[in-house]
Amino acid sequence: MRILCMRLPQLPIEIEIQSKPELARKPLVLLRPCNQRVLIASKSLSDIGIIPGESRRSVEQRYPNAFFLTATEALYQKKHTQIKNILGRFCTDIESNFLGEFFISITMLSRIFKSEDDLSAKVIQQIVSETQLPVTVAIAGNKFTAYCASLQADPTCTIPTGKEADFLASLPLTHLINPPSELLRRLNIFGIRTLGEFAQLPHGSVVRQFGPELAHFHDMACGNDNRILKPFTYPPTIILSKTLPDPLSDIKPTQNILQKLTKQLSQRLEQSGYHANTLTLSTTDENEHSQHISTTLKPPTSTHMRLQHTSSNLLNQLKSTSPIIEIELKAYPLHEWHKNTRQIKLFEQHKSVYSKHHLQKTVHSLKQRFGEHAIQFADTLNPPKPKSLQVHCNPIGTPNKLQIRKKTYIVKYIHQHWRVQSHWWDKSIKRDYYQVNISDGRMITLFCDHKQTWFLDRAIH
Amino acid sequence: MPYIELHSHSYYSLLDGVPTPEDLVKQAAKWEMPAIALTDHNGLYGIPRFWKASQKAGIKAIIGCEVTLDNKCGHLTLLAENQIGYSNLCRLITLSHHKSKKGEALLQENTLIENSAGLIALSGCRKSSIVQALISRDYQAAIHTASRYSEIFGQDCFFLEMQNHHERNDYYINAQIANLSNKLKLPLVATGNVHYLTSEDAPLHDVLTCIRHRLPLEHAINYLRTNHEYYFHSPQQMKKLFTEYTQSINNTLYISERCQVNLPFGPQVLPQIQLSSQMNSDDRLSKLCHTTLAQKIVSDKNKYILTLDHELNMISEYNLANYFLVVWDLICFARKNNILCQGRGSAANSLVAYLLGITPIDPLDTGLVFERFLSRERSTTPDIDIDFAADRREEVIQYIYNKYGPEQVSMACTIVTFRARSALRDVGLALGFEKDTLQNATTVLDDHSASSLPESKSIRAILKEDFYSPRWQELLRISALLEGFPRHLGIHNGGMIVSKQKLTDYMPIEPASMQERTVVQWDKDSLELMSWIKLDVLGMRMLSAISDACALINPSPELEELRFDDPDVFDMICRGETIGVFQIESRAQSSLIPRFKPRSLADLTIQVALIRPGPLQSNMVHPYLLRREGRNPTTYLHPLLKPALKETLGVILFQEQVLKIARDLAGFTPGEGELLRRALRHKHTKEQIKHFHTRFIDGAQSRGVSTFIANQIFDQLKSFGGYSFSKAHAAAFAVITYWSAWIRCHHPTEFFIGVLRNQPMGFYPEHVVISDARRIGVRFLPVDLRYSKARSTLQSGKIRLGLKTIRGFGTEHINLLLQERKLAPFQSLPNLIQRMKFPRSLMESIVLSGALDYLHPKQHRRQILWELTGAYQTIPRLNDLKLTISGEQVALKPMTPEQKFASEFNATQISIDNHPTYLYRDALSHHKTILVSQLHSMNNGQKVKVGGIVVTRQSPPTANGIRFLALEDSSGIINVVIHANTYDSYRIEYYSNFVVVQGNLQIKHGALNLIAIHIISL
Repeated sequence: MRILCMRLPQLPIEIEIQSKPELARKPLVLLRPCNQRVLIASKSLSDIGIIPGESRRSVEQRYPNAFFLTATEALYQKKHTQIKNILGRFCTDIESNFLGEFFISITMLSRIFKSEDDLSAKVIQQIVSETQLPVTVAIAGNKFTAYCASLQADPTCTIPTGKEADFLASLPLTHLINPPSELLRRLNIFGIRTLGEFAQLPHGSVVRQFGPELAHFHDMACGNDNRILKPFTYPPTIILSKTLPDPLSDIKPTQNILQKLTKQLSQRLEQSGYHANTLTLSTTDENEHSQHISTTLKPPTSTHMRLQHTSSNLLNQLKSTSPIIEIELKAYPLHEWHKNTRQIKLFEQHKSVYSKHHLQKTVHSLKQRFGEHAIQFADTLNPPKPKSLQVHCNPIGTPNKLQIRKKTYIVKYIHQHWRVQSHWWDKSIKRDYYQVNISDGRMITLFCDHKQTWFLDRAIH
Repeated sequence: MPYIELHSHSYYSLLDGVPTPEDLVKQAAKWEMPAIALTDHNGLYGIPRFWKASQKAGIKAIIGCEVTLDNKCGHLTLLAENQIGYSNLCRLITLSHHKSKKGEALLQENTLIENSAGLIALSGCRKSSIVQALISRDYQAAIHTASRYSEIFGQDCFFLEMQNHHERNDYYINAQIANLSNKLKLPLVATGNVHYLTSEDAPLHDVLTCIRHRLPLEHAINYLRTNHEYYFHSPQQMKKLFTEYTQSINNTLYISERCQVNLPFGPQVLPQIQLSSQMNSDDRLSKLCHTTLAQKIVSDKNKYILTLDHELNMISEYNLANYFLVVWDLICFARKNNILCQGRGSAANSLVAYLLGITPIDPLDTGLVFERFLSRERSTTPDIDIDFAADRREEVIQYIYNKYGPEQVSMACTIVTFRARSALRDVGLALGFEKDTLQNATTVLDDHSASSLPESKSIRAILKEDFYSPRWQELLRISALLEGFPRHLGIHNGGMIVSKQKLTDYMPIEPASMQERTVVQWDKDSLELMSWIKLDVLGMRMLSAISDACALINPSPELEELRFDDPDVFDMICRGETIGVFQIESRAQSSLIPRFKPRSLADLTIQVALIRPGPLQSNMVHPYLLRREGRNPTTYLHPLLKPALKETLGVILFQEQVLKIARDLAGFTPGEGELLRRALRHKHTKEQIKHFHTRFIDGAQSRGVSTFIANQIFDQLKSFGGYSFSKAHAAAFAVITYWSAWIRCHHPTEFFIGVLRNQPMGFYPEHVVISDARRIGVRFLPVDLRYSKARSTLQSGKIRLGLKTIRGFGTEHINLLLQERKLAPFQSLPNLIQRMKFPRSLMESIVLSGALDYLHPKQHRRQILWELTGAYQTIPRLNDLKLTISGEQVALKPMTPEQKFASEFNATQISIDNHPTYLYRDALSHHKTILVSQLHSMNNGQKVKVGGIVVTRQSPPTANGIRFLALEDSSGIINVVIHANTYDSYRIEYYSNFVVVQGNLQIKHGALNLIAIHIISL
């Protein structure tokens, strides 16, 4: 099997520079509009350690001259799809897990093109001619080697069959894809810094040292990667687990570990753009006795604080008597009816700066991308707005007469008066409620807001 | 008919109240209420302040508490009607905290039955069981509960409480309560359930609620009050709210008139020390002192006897003889059990304390003033602070508990209050700020006081334009309001309350975090307000270090026999070799030494007192040093100052000098002088200071001092008064300074063992102490699993590092290992793992520290680390006969010397072979840095570059924004001075561990400083 990996690692940056050429060579940082965290930074900044997810403040502290721009993610997605479509002319099964990164199987294409180098050149030519974006293409015998080769490609790189291990040998361990931090830590204390040094360890010893579940990282370092291409599908679940080095009986450290897992989960949910419907917490104690507990979730489930709160409640409900050795957190992101639906967090609730205009603009671009009927507004969960009323008050300010649908009613009796003052930190609410009997016998609740405007809250016949 | 507020919360309701007790009283007085009750949640924390404020305002203080009942029975408001009621209230609160989680209090109903006498109960707020039953329309349950309480407290002592906060159902609830009242013939009472003074404070209360529940405002809606009506309503407003229930208003006055309680003012009756004869405490104390005086004092006996008699009279007058005897008994216990101890603080002004062996300072010989400790003019009771060797303090505390009984002894509490960092972090989380953002802000925060947050330069520097955003401004504004708000309860360092009677008769007690330890609900200020005496049983690690060192020296030195005149000791101090020496090791002290050159205990006393905020802020250090060096003449603003200031060359350094100046210059009695000093120190109101000022000027004039000079002197006293240091305290410290210096000078190995055993201690981290010890020739042996004990030990004249130096090796694990090692030596890695079952992370640290090198001499550490996994996997299959490693051979490269050093340093945070800068030697040579030792041969003003590890960072509030780093390389330590503008450019570098500093060398009076220009983080 031969795999082609095409990467545009700086895709969003390149798109921004394309639209504003004066940004070229500037130390650019694109910030996610929802949370003002780094989506991507230009290479000069990435090289000094600025990573996605970092806060603007942290970047400013480390690199005061950074130039910040708000990311237009819809535009990058559009470009990504455009590139994917171009690549689709070569092969329809495309795996793409990240913006600007694509894998295709080229086993069948070798008959069409003179050589793999010719294929790489053709792909680059197509992409560059239609998008004017710089791109690197690498071909190798498996996904991992192709991916590593694309990191080194200038702009192409072909690794002949059987030469994968040689090529990988000098690369640092950080090229491994999402390696567990414990693996990297231990390799570091063993003095192993490169994939080649890792590959030199006997496979059996590696399995005994790190467990069979991490053995595939060793395979990768040896140039063997049996993963097949997976054209993008919606993952039905996200499972995160943590095996504890020492059994824990105290709730506090367990909560801390759970907190870390929920943080990862919220990040995964946010990256994927889904909402989970169910959260399951499983624990295994040192007697290998497992307990599971689940709860339903309401969107937006990628909010870390809420996930943390929910999972913490779940943990409190578990009655574990023995020390815990493993914690697993499982989120079911999609139900049947969610299929082909993606919920995109357009703005944070507390950030009023994202106005209606912004929302309309975003919806417009989404409709352009996905089609008119693909985008639907969800119903708001808030109750319907109260209707305004004409109310006459007596001198002490309590209502004595009111008009509903142009008909005047006299307030016969005030049952209750209460006051609500809340949300002073956002949109302050101050209301005086009255529950009254009016002349037609109905009991109604009306309120007067801070502007002295009256509204009908509810009417009971 | 007036209305009296019988249900109000202060900020001592711990995150459920905004006003201070004084605020409540002030507001009540403003509305001409003849009385007011304080009913904080589950505690009487604020009662002393409330009582004092009420006395001052001339209104009656009603003592109460809102208790929480167990089994979801909700809140109940209790008011003390008489002394029995007050004692019962204390007991009930104590019982409610007993067996509850820390910070929680739940009262069992049966305890209520047993302790209801003398209490008036109000049915409670919305969270009470009666109102909850009414809200859920369960009228029968409400009747049942009300009848039950009526039975418990008696029909005339149980009132149905009505509140109206314009909450939904308030109309209905009050109507139903009125029905209950009619049906059960129970009286009604209206209360305001005050949580803040005005409705403008409601947001602050919401934030406190969020902090209590650790939730942001958005998610805390269910916990917040629905409106802003829980403010302190005026009598007119209350009457308007309860027009239909006028009797409920009238009953507030009725209840208030019934409540007649006096708080238990001290000093408390202390337990009697068993006396051999029928002598009373005064006679016993007198006999003890006179006997010792006859033995201890050889010259000028009459003067001593006169002073002693004066002191004994005063002590007798204030009923403190028993207190001295209790302390003396404690000292006797410590001495008998070889626990090093020493009294300090103002007690050292007392000859009685000296004669009883409580302090080592002869007050007459040292020129101390007894009235600094005790005087007729002083309204508060004195206390005696005693330092014990920290590692044995617990024995002393247990002795007190066992001797006087657990019900008669408790620790004082501390009310932990919000400061800048905690306020910013907690309010930030409540307002929905991200943790990382707050972490960034709090890391660089220079301000200690929350009230300075809105003008914080450090936050402004990192936020830039965001600082002015409404969101941040709101955060800073609200955080500032929290300054001084109680956050939670802690335990005082060593303040112990001892009483002859059960303490719960006088104040509530709560369990502390430490098992079988309790704390009273009053902190040291409250105890002082109520004139209760406490014993300060403090732990001092330096005493432990000295004790440990002396135990290793053969023969053990008699410290009390030392004469404070050893030239070798003073030579060592003058060479600046003071790391580890008590009180004079800091960078500021060591830069003072070349000019100061101490040669006596009196010099050390001055040196200890000199580097303090008082002398620094009032610019007295340099004038003193110039006079000491003979470069400036010693002058006095007035000849009358000479007797007081002669010893300090005309400069005010000691608190006692304030008393003497006031006496000599203005005719104050020593007691009045002490009052003046306290007024200046505590920054009393302008009126009070003005009163003293007038008295001072008049007194001075009558003695022929011009107003101009008198004013000048008073101004000096004022600027000095805020931070002054007690000479008695300094002298007591100077003794320990000399002892530690003497041991360092003559027995350095034993000294450093003592210091290392008692880390963390002093100014420097452990690796700096070790580097310094190595520089003076002390030899170390690495940590070794065969020989190392828990703490460092002496082995063949060298220091064998202890197991505690290995990161993550806790006491429990160490004790297990030592026990197991006694049974049989560890033969191999699997043998060790099988027997000890240590967690992997700890085993890794042990391997990396080199403590296991002896087990596998042919294998390098990486190989051993690799085999750890195998060893762990084989544990279940191992038996004692097969204790070999799996034999799996994996070719791993051995560590380079640098890697070995780095991993050792990482595992132990210390190094006995190289200095940590060894890791950065390439970078340092790239930057062309020079060694600290080379700076001594350079010229003032020369540009230099020095690199090393940052050992301390300081930003003293007295330094006008200047910061200090102590930078150490393999050859020594240099002080780096960073001016405010340089700091602004290098904030991040300032917090790095390894840095290169380029700057100008400053050589002043033999002291070296590096004035930073550029800082580079390595």
